[in-house]
Amino acid sequence: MLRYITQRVLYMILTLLIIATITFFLMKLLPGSPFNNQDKLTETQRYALNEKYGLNDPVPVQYINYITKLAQGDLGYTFQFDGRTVNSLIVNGMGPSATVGFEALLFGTIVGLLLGIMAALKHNTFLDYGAMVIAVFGIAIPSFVFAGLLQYYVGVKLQWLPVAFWNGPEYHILPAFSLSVGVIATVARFMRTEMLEILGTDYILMARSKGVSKSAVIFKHCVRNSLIPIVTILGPMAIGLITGSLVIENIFAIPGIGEQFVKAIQVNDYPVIMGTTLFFSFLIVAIILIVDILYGIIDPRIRVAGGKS
Amino acid sequence: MKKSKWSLLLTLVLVLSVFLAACSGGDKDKASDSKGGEGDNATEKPNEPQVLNLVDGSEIPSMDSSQATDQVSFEVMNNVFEGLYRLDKDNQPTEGVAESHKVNEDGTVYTFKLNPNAKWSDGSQVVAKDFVFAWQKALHPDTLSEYAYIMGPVKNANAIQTDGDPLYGKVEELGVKAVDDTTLEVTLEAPAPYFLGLTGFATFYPQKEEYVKKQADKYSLEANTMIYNGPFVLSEWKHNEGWQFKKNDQYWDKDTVKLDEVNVKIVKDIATGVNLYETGQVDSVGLNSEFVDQFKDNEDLVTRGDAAVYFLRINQKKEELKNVNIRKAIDMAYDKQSLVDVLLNNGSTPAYFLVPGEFTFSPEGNEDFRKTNGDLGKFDAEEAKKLWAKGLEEIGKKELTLELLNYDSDGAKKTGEYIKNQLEKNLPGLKVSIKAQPFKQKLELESKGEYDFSYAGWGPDYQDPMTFLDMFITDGAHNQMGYSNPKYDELINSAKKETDTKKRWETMLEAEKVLFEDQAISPLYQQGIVGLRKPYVKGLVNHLFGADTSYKWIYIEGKQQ
Amino acid sequence: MSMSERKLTPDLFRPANLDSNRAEEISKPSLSFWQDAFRRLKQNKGAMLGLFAIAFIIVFSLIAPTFTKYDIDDQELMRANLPPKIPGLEKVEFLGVNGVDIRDVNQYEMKNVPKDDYFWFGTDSLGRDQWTRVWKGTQISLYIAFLASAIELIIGVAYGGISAFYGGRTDDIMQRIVEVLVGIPNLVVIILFIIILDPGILSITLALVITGWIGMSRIVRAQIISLKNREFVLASKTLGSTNGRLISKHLLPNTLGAIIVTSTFTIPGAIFFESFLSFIGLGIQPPIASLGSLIADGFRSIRIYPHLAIYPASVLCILMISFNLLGDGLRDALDPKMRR
Repeated sequence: MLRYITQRVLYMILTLLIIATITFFLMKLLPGSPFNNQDKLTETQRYALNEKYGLNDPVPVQYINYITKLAQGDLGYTFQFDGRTVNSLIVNGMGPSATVGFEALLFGTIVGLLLGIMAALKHNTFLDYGAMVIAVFGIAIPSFVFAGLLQYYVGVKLQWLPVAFWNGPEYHILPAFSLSVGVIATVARFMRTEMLEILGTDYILMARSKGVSKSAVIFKHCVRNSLIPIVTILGPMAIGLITGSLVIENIFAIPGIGEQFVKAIQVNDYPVIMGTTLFFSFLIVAIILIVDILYGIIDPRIRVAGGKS
Repeated sequence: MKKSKWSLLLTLVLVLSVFLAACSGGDKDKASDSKGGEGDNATEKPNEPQVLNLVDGSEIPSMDSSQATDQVSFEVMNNVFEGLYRLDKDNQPTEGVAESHKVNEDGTVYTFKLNPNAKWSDGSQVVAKDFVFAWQKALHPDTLSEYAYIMGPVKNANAIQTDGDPLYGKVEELGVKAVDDTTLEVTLEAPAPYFLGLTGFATFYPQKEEYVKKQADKYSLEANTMIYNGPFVLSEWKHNEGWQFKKNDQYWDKDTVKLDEVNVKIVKDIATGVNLYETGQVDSVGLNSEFVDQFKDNEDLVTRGDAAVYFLRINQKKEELKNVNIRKAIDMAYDKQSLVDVLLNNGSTPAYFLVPGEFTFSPEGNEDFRKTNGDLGKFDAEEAKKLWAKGLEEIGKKELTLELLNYDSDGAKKTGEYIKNQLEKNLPGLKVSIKAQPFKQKLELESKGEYDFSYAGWGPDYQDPMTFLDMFITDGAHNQMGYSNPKYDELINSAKKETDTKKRWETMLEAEKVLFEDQAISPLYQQGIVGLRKPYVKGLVNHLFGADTSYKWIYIEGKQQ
Repeated sequence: MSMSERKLTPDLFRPANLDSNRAEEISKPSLSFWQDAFRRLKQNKGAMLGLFAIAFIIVFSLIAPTFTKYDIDDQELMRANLPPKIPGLEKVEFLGVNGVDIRDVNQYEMKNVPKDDYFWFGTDSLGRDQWTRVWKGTQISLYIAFLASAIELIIGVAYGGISAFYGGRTDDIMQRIVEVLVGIPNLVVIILFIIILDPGILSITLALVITGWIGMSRIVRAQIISLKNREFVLASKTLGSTNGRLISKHLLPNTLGAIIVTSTFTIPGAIFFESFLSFIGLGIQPPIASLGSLIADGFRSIRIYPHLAIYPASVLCILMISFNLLGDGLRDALDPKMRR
């Protein structure tokens, strides 16, 4: 197992290097210069500014410089804010983003699992339909609409929770809930499908005939086996949360990383685009690795690739 | 039973409170009347918390006055720093660090007398060499200040910035001299009647050399690595979340400043801002046209004119658009009044000109530039069709496809759709395609000339028609559309050298007319700004250029009834 | 539990009369897998309802724009932001389709709209007929969604299937490629597409596909990995089945449940991602609209002109629910293990 993990971590670094390379050259395709006031700049100044940020060098030289610094963990300086490093932007923004994302994922998965299990056990009953209606609405309402409505009704009309900002635990509830709706829906539907499938298998029938109690069958066999596909979608879902968080952070005025990313793209802040892209990528490959390891733990039948030898 | 008793009590309380509120309101009115309505003279402090809560759309990009380039930075700096002069509520220069000034006869040498009470927040005095240091720093090639060109009127400023010039980089040649601690002498290239107003601009703020050098790279990066000389200090700066101002106890005019605290939070979504406003967490918020209808009848709605002018840049490097009739037809073919009334809906006014109204006034007689020159175009679909037919004949074409380069904001997209629709409807044979691009990409395409016509805007840098007019001289940096008319160039150049203010004014009036005889651009509208502001926020001052707002004169009155 | 408490007595049993001649007789008509599936689908009321709703919306979105004389980009600022007004139904007040807005002002009278002009879904801020725009928008959204999910399905199934089935080094290499692709946040890809290509339906569809198929491939891969070591596959292999037969007869049918459920999610997913792009200003470019861009636009003024968001949102909701009902029905019908 240790050997397998080491091997995977090496792959991970290779992956990140490839991503860094691709993004770097894609950035070079973007038109426009990164300077705030470029329509008022003279040629001399423009040249001098480009010189300062090393943008006059040939692209391969810029690439090598970038990768060298990257290896030292230095993502460079942002063009948007005076004298601030990309590292500091990411470190500042990561806390709130990760918090909201994790809360949403945790809450969404738990509620989704419960709904899915309930729906499957009470297949074709009122409970089943009810759970599925919730799930369908969860994916039928865009997160920005849902967040906007929540903010207005719960924040402005009822005044139960704060409208926006990031000052304490009560400020987490609305954004995390808005973000979790998609997770609930996805998890609930997958769980229901899987549970139904497994409930119909022979080994469940076998276990039941052998006199294993219903709850033991459900939790030891059904739920555990149903979790496999859920684990496979957790990765993509966590990535989806990053996309969702762009909007949620905007609406609830959370000082997170997602909004910075969109802003950076709009204003050609190359170092921030590169930095955040790499950071997201790092998260994503890390999640995938964890998911693959979880596979092995949840379902011993699966021998993860590479473990075969 | 119980319920009815409660409601009776409640009604009683309500009635009483209304009555009391009416009384106290009356008292206050009387009190302010007795002061003669002059908020500035009031020395006694109103006895309610002087706290203002605001939202802003972005993090502060820079707090180094020689580096800042954007509205957010300008506004923050305007309230924590101070130049020789600052703008008052009528956009006229009022004393800042300078107490008074003298101008020599030909208007090229200004001698400023600095106020000895003007202090930095560390208690030291603001002296003339702080200005010299900051101005030289802004022009130094190593600083790479994107706004250094604004110092153009000061002697040798342009030469210092130009690579290859014998003076390049020699900042000590700049026309600014510290005679003693409280006397600053500034020499200009040519008389610039607007120079005094310019000294309130961020790039002209002082910086204390000793402190800046001590902080080195860290200078201005955090709230505690700066010293301030304005009405407020930045007491807290949480990056990407917000910042807080506190009253500056060292400020020379601290008796005028009534606010104790201003809290600013970053909110990018307008709907969120409105929701915060409705729950009373912020005292003022900007609106876009979607929300204006909703608050149309709300008494908190405030509208003000702004000096930014938006226009269609017509790229005259394109063969078809070199034809003046085609350009005139385009300008006449869309209804600007409806655009402003229905679509923008934010207090903007239709523009048939380049130099905005309510912005610059003649040296004598004080007449609005706009009023003198009047409208230089109109909406006339019939006339447009005729000119269009004539123009098409001249270029020998039956139909034309043009690309409109647009910003990618929601409002701009709608305006773009409207212009496309109007032009296609009123000019038979015209097809318009729209290309919406993020701000910087759009600018890049414009400077490369890769567009047919584009939705563009210009905000003034100083209070003079020249800030608009010198944009379109041949090969000017901002004339990104190949417009060239020797007559126009000559008028602008002679106005720049002219020492007689009256003659200069008339030359500029003439230049604008020439621009529109050629229909170099098709103006859209002069921007209006609309927002909600709580009635208890008094004394807020908006500016037409440089920083948007001054907090110096704001006070809270009537929040607690 | 209750079973064990009951006493079993011989008289509870009786011998079955087995006629050895009829043992081989097939009493039911022989049905192929797909005939059987379709029969099952027809029995599922919800699925049929969803199917009809989808069919109805598709057909209606094609013919509905011809019901009015206005085209998608007929602007007239004099009639901007009109609330809906439907002939006949306008008398029924509570329906809210009488041309009166939320401030109780009859906008049709106030703006002097001709008496016989009816805008069934109202008009937008440029005075365009919202009815035409909603149905044209539905067309665009469906087009993007179907195209994107069809391409995703083909690529995803093929990729995931090959990766899992061959395993070993193939799987390893293919998964590394997926990791690289998955690691690039798709927003970057989409923005690049929109800047490099002309912004429009094609670039959005392609951008959706470029990262979209990965989810499908991962699910197919996981399913097939877990299936291919099962006894029935082993048995079939031992009996000499070719790879083609293994895939088409055993692995694919058993994976279909998951594929279909995933597909019913990629369709709303595609519509949704498009609406998200509209919200951050990168979606379908005007004057054409999609359901997503209409909702994003209308949502900004929902408190004053609710009709702008409500109609496209309703169509979107009905589509989502229908796809889900149909997806569930298909799953029950196609999954051989669910036969009872």
